Amino acid sequence: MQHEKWWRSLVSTALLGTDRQSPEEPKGESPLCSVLQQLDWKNSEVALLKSAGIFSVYQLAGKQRSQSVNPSEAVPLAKPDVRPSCSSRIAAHLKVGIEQYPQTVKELLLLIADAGRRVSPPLLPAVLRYGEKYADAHATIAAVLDSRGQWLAQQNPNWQYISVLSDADDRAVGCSRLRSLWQTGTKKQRMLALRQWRRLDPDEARDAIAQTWKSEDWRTRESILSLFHSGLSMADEPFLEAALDDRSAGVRRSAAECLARLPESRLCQRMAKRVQDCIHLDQKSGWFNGEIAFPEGFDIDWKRDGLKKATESGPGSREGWIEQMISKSPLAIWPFKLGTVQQIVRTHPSGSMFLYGWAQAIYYQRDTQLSQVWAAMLLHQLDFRCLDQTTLSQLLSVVSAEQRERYLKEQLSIAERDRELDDQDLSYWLQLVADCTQPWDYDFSQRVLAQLTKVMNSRKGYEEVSSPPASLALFLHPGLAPTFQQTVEQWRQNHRPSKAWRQFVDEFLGVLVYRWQMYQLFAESG
Amino acid sequence: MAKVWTASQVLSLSPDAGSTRRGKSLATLSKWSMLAQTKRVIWGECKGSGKNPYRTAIDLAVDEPAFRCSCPSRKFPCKHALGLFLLWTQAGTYSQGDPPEWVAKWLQKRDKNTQRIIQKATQSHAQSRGQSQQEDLSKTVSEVGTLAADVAVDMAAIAKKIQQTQQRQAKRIENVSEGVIDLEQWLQDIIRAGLADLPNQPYRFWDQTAARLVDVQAPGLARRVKALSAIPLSGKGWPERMLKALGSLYLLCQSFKQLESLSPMMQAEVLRQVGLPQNKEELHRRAAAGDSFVSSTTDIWHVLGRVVIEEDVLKVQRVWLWSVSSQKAALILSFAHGRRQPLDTSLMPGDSFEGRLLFYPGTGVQRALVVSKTEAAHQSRLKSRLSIGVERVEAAITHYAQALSENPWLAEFPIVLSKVWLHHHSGTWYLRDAEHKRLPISPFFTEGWEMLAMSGGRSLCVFGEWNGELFSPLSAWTEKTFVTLGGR
Repeated sequence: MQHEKWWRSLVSTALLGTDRQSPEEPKGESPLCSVLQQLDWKNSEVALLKSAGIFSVYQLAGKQRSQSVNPSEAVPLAKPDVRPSCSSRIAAHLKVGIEQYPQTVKELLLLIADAGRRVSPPLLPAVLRYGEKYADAHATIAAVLDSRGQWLAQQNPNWQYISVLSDADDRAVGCSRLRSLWQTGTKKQRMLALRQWRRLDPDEARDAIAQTWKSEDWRTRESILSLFHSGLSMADEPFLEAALDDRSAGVRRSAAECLARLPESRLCQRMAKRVQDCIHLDQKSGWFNGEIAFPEGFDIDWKRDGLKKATESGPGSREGWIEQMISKSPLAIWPFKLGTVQQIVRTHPSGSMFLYGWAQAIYYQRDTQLSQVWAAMLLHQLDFRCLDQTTLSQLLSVVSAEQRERYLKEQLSIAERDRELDDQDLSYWLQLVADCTQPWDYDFSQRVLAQLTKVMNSRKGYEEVSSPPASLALFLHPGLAPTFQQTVEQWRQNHRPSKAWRQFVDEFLGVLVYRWQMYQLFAESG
Repeated sequence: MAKVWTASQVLSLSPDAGSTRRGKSLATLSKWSMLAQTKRVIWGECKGSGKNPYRTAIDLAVDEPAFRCSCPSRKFPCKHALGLFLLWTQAGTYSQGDPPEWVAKWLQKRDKNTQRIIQKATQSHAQSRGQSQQEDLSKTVSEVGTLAADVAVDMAAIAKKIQQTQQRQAKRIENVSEGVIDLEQWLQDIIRAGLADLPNQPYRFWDQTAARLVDVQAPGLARRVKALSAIPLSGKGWPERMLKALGSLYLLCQSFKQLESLSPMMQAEVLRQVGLPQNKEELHRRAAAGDSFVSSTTDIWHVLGRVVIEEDVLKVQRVWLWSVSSQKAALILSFAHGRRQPLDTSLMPGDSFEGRLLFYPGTGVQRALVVSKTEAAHQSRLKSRLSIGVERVEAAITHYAQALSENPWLAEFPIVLSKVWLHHHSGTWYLRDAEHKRLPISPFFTEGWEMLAMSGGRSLCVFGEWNGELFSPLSAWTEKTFVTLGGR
């Protein structure tokens, strides 16, 4: 202690400079002091520098750095793994995937899980960190962990998502662990916990949220509401309805979007009433006389329910308001048959208002059977080129995988038959294929690649053909990679592709080939 | 092929972080065509931005791989070579094929060069063998007489060389002395004016002094002065760190001025710290002349760690070896100038060999030179690696204090802890021993979770560098596995 005090005074002298202050000679009888006392303290600079040099070595050599750890804090032992580890080549491939092709990782993990293997210890942290970013991969990650992986996940609060999944048999244990993480974790950990909790026990999670709701900041409140989509039910309705009175516009909007998914909610019922005030529907005969009583102005009550006064398409259009109301009204209020819907969309002066309103409502109410019927109905009669990408993707996401494939095939055939498909349309079609995010079989993938080759050969700029997405490569059959690689070789020789095209092709081919290698590795290892 | 390469070993050849990143992104089949290999060489063509692909080949016949690429990059190895190499480690093997003309030609040229080197070596070896054969055969007195004369001539030549080197060194010491006097004055001026002013000093303030020290051929001192410039910007506690660094530098100047009063080993250490070169040939000569300050050790050596530091255009590589019977650490330093000169890759962490090392004179942790090297048997290698080092943190710290007492300028001290557990507390990683004593790990170390995953809660053997405050792990192993940690 005595030395430390002297050292501090020496540092402050050095800061001021010996011109202003002379250094203090240490007093005492310790070995260090006796060495320092031998210096010539009259020569201030030299004494100060030398004593600093000596003290520095003294401290390094003598400092008790070896502090103790509380034995109770020792990490417990991991149990031995039961499943065999994946091969070192698959592990190396996985490592590359995590670093360069993160979107493909889930597919590879599924293959490892299906083969009854586990991820080897050196890669466990990388895989668990991957799960921090990609919440949709949590269950897949849990499937490739054995005892060592589960043990490791328990040591890091950011990886609690695994412990909860592995304790799924015992829900109470899982929930209590989530509760403590929700109460004491960092923001990121709390959100991860909440996501799991909503899946495991949505009601208990909501009650826990309600307890701290008022003390959370608006960003957290908004993030919390975005997690309500999982396990959403009418039991959440009172809480969400109350959130419509929140101070923050973002929170109100999020609450309204959750409520729009519940046709029986008070919000949907209010919307239905508003729609029916403007559009007279004869519920018995299913008759609509085509007249619309447009509202005179924007009612201030609408704002609470998440309606926007000015829409993106234009400032305060009256059609825009009704479209928003339609989108949040239960589909069940429309007494129409297929023919009537077609007629309204095609011939009514406000046909597009109905179309986009319904399309949005279908998407909001995607958990209901009625929504699937409506989606099939609208898709059946619409040329894909009449609708914007977001709306069409939303409609496609509601129907089954088979229906999606059929729709895309039909649309391509019709357009090919009429020979009216230009590169723009083709590229748009390719985007829709990518948006479906479902694996395609060999034949359909071949057809998709043929279309992509056509677009690539069109000699148009990448942006000119509205940029086909590289994510397409995630869903095509990987067995086509070698053939397509040859196609690309030829294309490179015959064209002088622009930088944007080159980047796209590199990325696309990179992913496809990477996936192909992945399946090859599994085929080899049996 | 002589050796199995892992991805991390390949990446350790990378000239810089950018090349590592770009090399990784090229390690995908979609970028390559014509990939093939023979037992000796791998090659492929990589699509670049131009019309013609770049042709890349790697000769793996010897311990150190050789690279060739038709790209215009001035880096060595270039991103294409790294990509091809990495891809090969991932893919395991390429299809067998006959080398195309450009590969064959390159190999021919390499073989020619190698032959030339071998011829040269054989010639000089033959000369020396000639002498020893003579020794065997010469029975007559006159022949013995001739031989004795030959040996005398040889020894005289060595003595002359040593004398010349000593003269050169004396001249150099004289030069450095002038710089040291100025440096002492400069340090005193700083203390007189006070440290408080230092954060406002322009870079010039440090750089001019450093440049002057380079002029007088004291690069070790120059490096220390340059390092000072970063301290005022290093955050809380900088005055204390600055004062310690200035004090340590001043003591070095003082020791240099009193060089002759020091022991020969200490003299060598001070000269090394100041930056006088340590010459390989000179070391051989001194060993041959039986210099008692040049020691040599023959043992089984484990390569435990490798660190590469970039200083402007110079790359400095520290490779740490550890011997089994003598439990001695050895530092193998190597340097590479510019981006085209590759670093020595003959010693890779995880390897071990039986061989003889010559130690440069010095104190604390000694720098060494590998003189002979034969592969050690795999089994004995794994077993003996588990037997090195100490189990207790306190024992390791005691060794450090001992080394520090021999060399107060010791920067990195190698430590092998043979039975430690990973421990994580409030965001910091520690190693703890069976007595629950802990050693803090550097916050720059990013593989704590990887180490914990490897251990599964069991103890590990860990090697790393200790700087008196923090430990930087460089490798860890168990009975079955060895992993390289830290660095690039």
